[in-house]
Amino acid sequence: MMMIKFILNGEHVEIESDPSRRLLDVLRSDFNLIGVKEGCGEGECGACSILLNHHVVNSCLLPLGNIINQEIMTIEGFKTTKRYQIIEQAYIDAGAVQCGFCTPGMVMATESLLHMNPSPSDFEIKIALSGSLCRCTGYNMIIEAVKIAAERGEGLW
Amino acid sequence: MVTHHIPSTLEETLKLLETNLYQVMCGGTDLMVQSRSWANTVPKLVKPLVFISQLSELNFIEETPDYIEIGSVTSYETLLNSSLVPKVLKDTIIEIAAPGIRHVGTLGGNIANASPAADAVCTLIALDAIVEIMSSNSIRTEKICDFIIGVKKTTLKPNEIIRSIKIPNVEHDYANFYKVGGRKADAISKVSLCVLCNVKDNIITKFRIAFGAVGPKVASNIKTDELFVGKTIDEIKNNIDDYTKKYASLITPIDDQRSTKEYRHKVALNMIKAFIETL
Repeated sequence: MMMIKFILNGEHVEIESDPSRRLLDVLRSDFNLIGVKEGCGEGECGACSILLNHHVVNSCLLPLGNIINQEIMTIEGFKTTKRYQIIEQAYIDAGAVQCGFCTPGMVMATESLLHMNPSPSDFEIKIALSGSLCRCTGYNMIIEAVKIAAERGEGLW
Repeated sequence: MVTHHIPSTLEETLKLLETNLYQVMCGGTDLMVQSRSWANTVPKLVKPLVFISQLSELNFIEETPDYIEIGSVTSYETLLNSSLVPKVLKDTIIEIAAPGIRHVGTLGGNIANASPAADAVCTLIALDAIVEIMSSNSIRTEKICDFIIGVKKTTLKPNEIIRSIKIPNVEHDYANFYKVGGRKADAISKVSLCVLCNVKDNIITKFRIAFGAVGPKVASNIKTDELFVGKTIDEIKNNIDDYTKKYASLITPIDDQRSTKEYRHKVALNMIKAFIETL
């Protein structure tokens, strides 16, 4: 057990825990942030995607010991931003959400992309979302949603 | 009760490694899968962990007259964004996993994990990269093809850590990486291949191939490569089957959940052919 400090959704937090635990478990069980989903548990599906210092990362592969003093953002924290509102509306308008299980991860991957590259090409969008699986939409609507968000949110990223 | 450690300096890390048998944890993208347990339980680990991804002394990319030197905990994404990293290594890294893993996965981890299917290792072996290894009282270097000795096996001793990877500063006329996987992203290679080639006045002056996922470690053989050197491109193209088959005995794949040995053997040879046709 070890005292581990990090920044979670903009707030300084600390937790007495085993540093080998998956961040996914810590977020869901200790902080009740259940927008972070467990799909495959081995880095293939992206449902557990969170932001580590603004970059998308699979929280199922991230041991707690690797995030000391780092900034973690989950869908719950991101929800309070203007950028989230733009992405959310774009996903709704493009029909990019069906069952919704992949959506929090897709949204975090979208934010990670637009943070680095505010006007991505189709190819860059596909690479950015390539770690997230969606079994409902066939992806075209999600790619469309990212394009709509980039257009409407011009200047926000 | 296992006690994990998160040292803040390299010196502290190396001292710790002298005191006990530890498992070194870097980005975690391989180890967390290998030690995976039930949801909301701690990973199944044999040894206590020493975390190293936070060590700034191991996070760098530098250019010297002879080498590009990459610190072992530098993430794939950082390498993709660096102008110093050779293009063929970037072409390889973009085929590894997906952004969520590339943001935390590292070159040092890929080497230490020593998977026969490790994509970056395949290209680093073709590039004749050198691994620099450190302990609290020594520093040594080893060619990456000698450092990795088998499936998940390296010459790394329990008190040692990979400090950096040195890539010789050599220009290539052709430097290609090919990967066959079950999906475009997040796929472990069924077969991979890195080929480097120099040509002067229509004559091959350098030929170097490394194959991933076709044997217990990434496969390469300089003696076979040298059979191409001094030959004209026409000579090789006119006898393409004969030249391709020179690598057949090097390719000794297995059947596993990802592919079959027959498929891997055939595709590996076809990839060499595909490369020769681009000359």
